[in-house]
Amino acid sequence: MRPGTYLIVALGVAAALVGAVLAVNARIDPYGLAAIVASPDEAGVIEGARPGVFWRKALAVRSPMPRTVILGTSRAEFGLDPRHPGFAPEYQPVESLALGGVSIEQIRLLLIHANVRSPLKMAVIGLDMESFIDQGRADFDSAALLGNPESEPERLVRLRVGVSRESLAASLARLSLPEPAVADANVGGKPAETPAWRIPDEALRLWDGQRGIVWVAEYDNFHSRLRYLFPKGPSASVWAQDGRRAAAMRSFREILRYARNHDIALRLFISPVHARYLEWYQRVGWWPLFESWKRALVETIDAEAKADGSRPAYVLWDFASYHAISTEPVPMIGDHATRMRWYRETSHYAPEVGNLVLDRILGVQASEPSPLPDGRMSAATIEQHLSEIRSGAVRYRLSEPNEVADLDDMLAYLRREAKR
Amino acid sequence: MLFNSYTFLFLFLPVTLAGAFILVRWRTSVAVGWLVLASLYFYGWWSWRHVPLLLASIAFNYLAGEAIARRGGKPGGRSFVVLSAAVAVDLAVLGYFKYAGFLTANLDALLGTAMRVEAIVLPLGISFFTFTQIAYLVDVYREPIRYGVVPYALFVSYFPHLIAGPILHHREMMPQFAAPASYRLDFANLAAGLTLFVIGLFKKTVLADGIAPYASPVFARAAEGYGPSSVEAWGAAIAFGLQLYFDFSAYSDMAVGLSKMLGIRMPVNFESPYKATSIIEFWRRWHMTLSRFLRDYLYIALGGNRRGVVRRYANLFVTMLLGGLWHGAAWTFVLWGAAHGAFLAINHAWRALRSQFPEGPAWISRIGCAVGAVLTFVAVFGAWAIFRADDLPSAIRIVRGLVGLNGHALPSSALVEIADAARSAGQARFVPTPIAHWITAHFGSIDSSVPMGIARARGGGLVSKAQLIWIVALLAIAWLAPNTRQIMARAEAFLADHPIPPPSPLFAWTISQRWAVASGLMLAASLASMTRVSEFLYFQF
Repeated sequence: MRPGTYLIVALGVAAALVGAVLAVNARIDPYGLAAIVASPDEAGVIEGARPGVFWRKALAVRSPMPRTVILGTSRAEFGLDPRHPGFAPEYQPVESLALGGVSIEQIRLLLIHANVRSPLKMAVIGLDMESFIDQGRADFDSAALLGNPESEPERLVRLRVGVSRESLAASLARLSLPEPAVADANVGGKPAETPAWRIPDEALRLWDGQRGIVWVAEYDNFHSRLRYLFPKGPSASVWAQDGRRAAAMRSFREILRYARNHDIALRLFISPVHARYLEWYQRVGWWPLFESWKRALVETIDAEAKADGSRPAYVLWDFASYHAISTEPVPMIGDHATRMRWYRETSHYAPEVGNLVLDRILGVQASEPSPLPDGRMSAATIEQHLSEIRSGAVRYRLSEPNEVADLDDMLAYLRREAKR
Repeated sequence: MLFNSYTFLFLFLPVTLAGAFILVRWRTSVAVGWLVLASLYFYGWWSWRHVPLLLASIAFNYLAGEAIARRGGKPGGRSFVVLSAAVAVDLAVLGYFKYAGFLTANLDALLGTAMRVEAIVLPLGISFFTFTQIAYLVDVYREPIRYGVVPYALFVSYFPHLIAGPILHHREMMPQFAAPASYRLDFANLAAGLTLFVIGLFKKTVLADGIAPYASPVFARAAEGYGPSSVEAWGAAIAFGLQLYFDFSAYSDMAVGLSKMLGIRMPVNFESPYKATSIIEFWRRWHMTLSRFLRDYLYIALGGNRRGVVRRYANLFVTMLLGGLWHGAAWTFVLWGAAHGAFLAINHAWRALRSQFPEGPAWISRIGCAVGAVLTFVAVFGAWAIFRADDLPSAIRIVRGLVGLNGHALPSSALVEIADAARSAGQARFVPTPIAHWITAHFGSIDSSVPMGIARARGGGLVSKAQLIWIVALLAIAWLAPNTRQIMARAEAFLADHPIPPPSPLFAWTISQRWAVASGLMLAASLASMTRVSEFLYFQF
């Protein structure tokens, strides 16, 4: 064989195979990335753990382009409805770019991406301490997003995704199962058509009722962060002690600056996790960290506003406290029939809570008083605010001895794990 | 720019090759200049801020080399002063970028100096281009030799090797850079170079990136305070050792392949290191150009084996310690280097002891080789766990796991699988019921002491069936398959100072339809695996 022919055959075989993969993926479009215009209603679809969720959120084309984005972790994704009527017409349409497991830096990149794609008027950001601790999503690809130094042309990104074996696998799965079941790490599987926040009956049976699901979610959340549990010594200035957390706070400040420089109205809130979840914070030694994080948020917002000087500081609502919603009872183990009204499990709130959150931060006047507290927090009020939360914690422990015993049981095991 | 990126494959490489093939018709020196510009562009793709540093380093070392060479082979005196000063400046620059933070952090911890160094971005490839040039200066001092500035710039910045080696030697490369036969369009070179490159690309994107997800979790968990069991620790150490080998040797294969396309041969850097039956042999097969550098410019400079047995072992130890530190500013690298220094010293001492006795029969020798292979495997992969650990406490946790101090329990995912399999087997009566019951009872009850919520949650785990399959498959390749130099023997793409046994005809590359199709398949599989940016592990060194 002549060397020239060798080259033609080798490159030809590669081109033919890659072309075939590209054609199959283009035909099936397993992630819904085709340049057809997604309907505005799809903005409200909760992606959860659907395959290709990152690509879909990053690359799906929408018309008209959003003026508001919702950002945050899976809590914001499950809980906040982009079709909430509180978004005034000038802020619509609204798109949710909230993604499970994102870090605050990844939230910053998503905000820039959304604004470069289509200038924004508002961003609603659900803040969670975990996104200031964790490294973020492993499948996050900043090259696929606009407006950062690693950005690649969208066609190149689409080509990369289009010829990938992951896409091919997703296409083949789509062929064999037109409506693929979606695996969910927390609840052990749910059909795609089921709203992601609602726990399917089969999961309730599998985990012996909603309390079993609560256990699984709590264990997953805290065991995966074992390094940070049971910190030694006082952690009042804990944000300064860890480089990653300091970098996370810089990312938060960059978000504030970016929003101000681009006239984006920011709506910031801390997610309303369940009281049990706050009790976990207490018991694993995170409470000082949690309060320190809240202080750091408020200080950063204050400092950024002072640096600007011309406009007031952004408002930060804190719903991570003990109130009528967060202290909702958890059904007993073995109770397969009762579902919690406000929560999927103690980490993720239901859309009903999300609606109340949006009512509050968008200034919607409701006909009935909201079960959510005011939650507004500033540099002037934070110590009083934190003190009230501590009092709420004491009241909760006195009124829920069974929950306290249940938590102690799980905690003893984690403490042994942490000592290994 | 990454070799495994679309920009490189479909833009940079075709343009660079075409430019060289066209310009060399005019004059070789023009093609050399073109390749220098292309290499600087390649380097600057990440960050143009470091291109001036690279250029300054090239200019400084070239001028220093010229100053030494002008002394005309008179060792000592001013030549030595210039050499010492130049090497000191090179090491100071390397030290500033690579070790300043490490040094101040440790001084601060030791003396409470409150010194702080802002995080310094490490210029890519600085360890490689610094060592390359130090070797050049030392050689010029020993025996004056002079090159043109542009060929010298190409020698340092040559894009196939700039970021992660192989560490080139000027005597091997400069004659090739100046040869009129280089840079010419030769389809035979292109075919061989493409095949080599594709083998490397496949090793990186399919094999190394494929096993990578199984290597990281245990190390991440160890950094979070988790003490892995022996099964988990060995699973992670072996997965990482394989990832590193397939990642780094892939880069070397790609570098040699790219160079071959231009008609230039580069030194061999890997020769089936995991087939080694001793640590001495391992270092003759692993990162061979670094080993050569450490031997020629550090070990021998320290006195080598010329000053007695104790000094020889001390020199070995120091050389490996500094070799470890070369990889990065962290105690884990120091510890890894020290471990290999100790292994080498023990290995040499054993050989010296064994030479006192007569050779035994062949079967004893074979058993000795097998035992040596097992010990080498344990030592090398155990040391990789230290090398990979995020910090010293994590390394200690993993080493405790490796030696069994954290227990030998199988991870919960494996237990669930075993218990499920045993249950089904018991029900199906494929396995005698008492045995199935024993397995089920033993493994199924392992979590009975923990609260139900946790017992139910203990899915997942750190070793999985998929990881086991990856490990077995890649070990089989590393142990049984011929290496790239053997496969590509007919292409004469590698520079090497020793022969190597040819592979079976099945694996011997030829310009044939079979190999063309195989290359096409590997290229397609590699392209399909390039979903997102995946840097080479050695970029961080």
